[in-house]
Amino acid sequence: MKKHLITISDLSKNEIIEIFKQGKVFKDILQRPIKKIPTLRGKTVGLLFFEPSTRTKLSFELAAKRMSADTINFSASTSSLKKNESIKDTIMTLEAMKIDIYVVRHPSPGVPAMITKIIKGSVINAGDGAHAHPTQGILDAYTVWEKFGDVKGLHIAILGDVKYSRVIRSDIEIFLKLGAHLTLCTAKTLMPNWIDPKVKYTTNIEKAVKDADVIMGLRMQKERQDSAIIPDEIEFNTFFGIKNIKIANKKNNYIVMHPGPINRGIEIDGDIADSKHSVINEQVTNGLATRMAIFYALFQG
Amino acid sequence: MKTFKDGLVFLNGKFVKKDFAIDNNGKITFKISKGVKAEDLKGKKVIPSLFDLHTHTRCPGQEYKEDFDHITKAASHGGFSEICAMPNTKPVADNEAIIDYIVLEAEKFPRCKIYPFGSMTVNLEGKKLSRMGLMKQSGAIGVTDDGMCIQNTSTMVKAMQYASTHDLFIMDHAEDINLSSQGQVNEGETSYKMGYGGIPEIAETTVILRDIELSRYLEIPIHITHVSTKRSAELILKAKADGVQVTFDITPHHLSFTEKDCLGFNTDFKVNPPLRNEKDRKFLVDLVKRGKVDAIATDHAPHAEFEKEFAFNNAPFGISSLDTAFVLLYNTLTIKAKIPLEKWIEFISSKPRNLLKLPQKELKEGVMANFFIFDSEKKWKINADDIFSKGKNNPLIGKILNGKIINTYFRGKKVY
Ligand SMILES: [Zn+2]
Repeated sequence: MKKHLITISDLSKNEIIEIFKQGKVFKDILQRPIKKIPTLRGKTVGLLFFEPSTRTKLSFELAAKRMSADTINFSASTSSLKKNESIKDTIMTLEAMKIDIYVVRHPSPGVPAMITKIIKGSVINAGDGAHAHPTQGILDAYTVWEKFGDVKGLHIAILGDVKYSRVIRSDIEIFLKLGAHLTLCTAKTLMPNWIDPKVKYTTNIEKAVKDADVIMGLRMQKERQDSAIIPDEIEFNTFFGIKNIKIANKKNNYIVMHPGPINRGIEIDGDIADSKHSVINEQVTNGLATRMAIFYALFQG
Repeated sequence: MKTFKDGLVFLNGKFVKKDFAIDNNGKITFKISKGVKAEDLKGKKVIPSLFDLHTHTRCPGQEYKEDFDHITKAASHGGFSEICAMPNTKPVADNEAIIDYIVLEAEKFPRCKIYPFGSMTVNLEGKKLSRMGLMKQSGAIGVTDDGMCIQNTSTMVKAMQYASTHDLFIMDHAEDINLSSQGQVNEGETSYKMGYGGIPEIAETTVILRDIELSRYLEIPIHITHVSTKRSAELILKAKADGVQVTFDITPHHLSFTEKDCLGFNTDFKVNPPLRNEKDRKFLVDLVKRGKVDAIATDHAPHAEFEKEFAFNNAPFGISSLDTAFVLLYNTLTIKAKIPLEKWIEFISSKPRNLLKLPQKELKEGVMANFFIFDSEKKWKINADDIFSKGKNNPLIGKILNGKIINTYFRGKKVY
């Protein structure tokens, strides 16, 4: 594996499958009474979160601790990174602490990539604006891989706020790489101006989910209705929400996913989120196992 | 008297081998006595100095980005004898006192002539009209709200009418700010891949259409600066064919780079209007080839070193391009697109001077010597030290280019 994980394009298909297999091993270990393994003993993982993200941060922190690494936290408030602060200046002060892996979350796309040019260790992108969130892509694809045994040839429908999602780019990239068929379904105001030509787009939710093995919802930001992007949540939910009455899916083993946290009644209805098809809670466990596998792969070289 | 021999001198649109001299009054003469000591210019080109229609000189107020000392050094290094200073200074050049200041300060650095532009509205706010008449009396050559395009069409009508009252050249930076303000790069594949908001083509074309209609209706000429897309240029060419008095310029960077150059998050490629796609770039180069543009202008926009180290969205827009504009054009237009130098040099010299009704710089008997010497054969790597501008935000640093400016003469004196 490359030294840094900034986008899914840093990984080959084989490397992704290796991470999945290793993730499965770690997932089994996580079921045991003694959950700690010594792989990262003596290593330091720096968690640089320049915007709040409880879930992703906790997942990385726990993954590092389960592998016996030391962790150092820098949150936006302690690092006092301002809009006009030089990224270089901020990072150079951290370099003195001999950090082996930087896990970086930043609201501005490109910042984790900028950091790779400044530091000696590795960088894992934990989400940089709407650019990429590769570990979320990996855990989502892992979840599908684990459920179906293979991703190739599966039909995946993705609904919700595509344009502003930090998850979607990494998800599209990894699912295409693994040979899935993707269909996006949302309002045109929530679609980017460009999308990979291999991805289908429809405004009709029935069409989108009809043959889907996987139905994925994306989080809808509350601000959207204030900036003339959608009329309101009720209208959005009516046409693009994952709801029972809209799902005429012939398959009985389809799964419903969501990167969380979910807005019940907006992009997904509660009864679906809690149904037997839902793997939303399992995604959290898979996030921990795959992040351990990514740490593992980085240290295997 | 300083004599030059065996150089290829640009005369009447052609390079011809000719000996010449600068006499003791700083004027060109072709009457040279035989056997005098002469500088050998064998294989080198002697070109009348260039004119830049669009330079952000930053002073007064932003001397940390650029000052008159550096900008005049960068201009002479780049082969320019005249540059037009944009009014988005601090304070804004919206009154005669600032214009007086720029004219007087610039004269302390006699390496090139600075023609200031005044703003059309007070503080570039798009509300009240600037004192355009008084600014003209103080030496303003034109007016523009560059960077802060007037959004209110009614205000634009009045600003154009008032500028025209004083016979001022009107230049517009066409941008619908409501469409562009969330964007960092061209809207499309690049904005998607970078995860940044896009600046759509329509942010430029809708305002160009407005400007064309205003120009037609008011019968007032308008110049659209830094046209960046194929569609924009097509709209203007069509309006010209219909008899509308609209002209336009293109920057060296829009002719040379594309949105794909931004993918590495290099803030040196972050410009407004943004770098567009290859289809646009090719079309613009082709326009130069067909002689269909009115000018090439640098939009030199220097920034301080630390501002480049911000996250991409927090870094300011602009390229520090004055030093390297001509050499970049030589590589883009002559070496890559095979357009002879003789064909495009007018777009960055005589054509913009004509737009502003200014006298030409020519290599003629008895005229003041304003020229530069260009070694088109020399290959060289550009280092940060080769950028004389205070702004080192130039994406060519570290790159190897063909052709180097050797010396520049201004008013008979060697200034570089
Ligand atoms: Zn501009």
